[in-house]
Amino acid sequence: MKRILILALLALGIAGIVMAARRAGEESAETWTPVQPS
Amino acid sequence: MKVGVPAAGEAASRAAHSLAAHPAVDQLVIIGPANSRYYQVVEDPSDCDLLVVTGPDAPSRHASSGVPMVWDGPQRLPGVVVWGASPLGLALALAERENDPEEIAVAHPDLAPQLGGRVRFPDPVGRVGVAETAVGGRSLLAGKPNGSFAAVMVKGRDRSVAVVDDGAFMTGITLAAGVAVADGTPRPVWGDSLSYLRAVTEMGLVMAESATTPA
Repeated sequence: MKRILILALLALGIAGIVMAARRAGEESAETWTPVQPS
Repeated sequence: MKVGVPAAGEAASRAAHSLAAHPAVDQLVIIGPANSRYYQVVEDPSDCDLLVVTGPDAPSRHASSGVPMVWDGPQRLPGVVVWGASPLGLALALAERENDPEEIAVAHPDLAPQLGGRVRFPDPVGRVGVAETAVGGRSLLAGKPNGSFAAVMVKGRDRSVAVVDDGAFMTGITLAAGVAVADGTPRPVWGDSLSYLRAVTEMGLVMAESATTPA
């Protein structure tokens, strides 16, 4: 039971890291280019 | 065109510099009492074509002059011919030029800090806590960022557009550029958004687009 709990917490932690990395990747992919009003 | 700027702190001072360099302005005077190293100071504004005023009580203080006013407040008041000459008005002017504005957001050091939702603005502003507010019948998200930078952003389905700069610089220019909208018909800056956006970019703000919708 204790082992399952530890594995579940570990899985949650890994999922959190993956989500944070994915979000950082999306933000860094944003590129801004100067434009004139039109 | 002769423009008068009542002495009223940093925003007015910055607006005066932007106006003095603008080709549509022939003469700029500061409405005193005040001291100015750069401009003529006058007590009587009655021979000005326009007054550029800032602050909640500015229209009531200067309405007696009878000179039409450009103001950074959010709504029409007696004597005011152009209103919304502020970062919030800039956001609505940007939105007017977009086909499908889905989110209009402003981060500015002069706004109140918010703990509600968060919006990701272009760097160096980054994520900012915002709350919904209504200006000119439209809903926008506004909040106070960390630091002195400000950002105005409109997200659409196909692209986002934004203006990012020093907050005080943006305040001065968004106020000054209101003169480009003044043609005798009372209206907000977003009522002639193209003229307004052209004026703010001529005065030094840079508009940018992003093809990818930010997270």
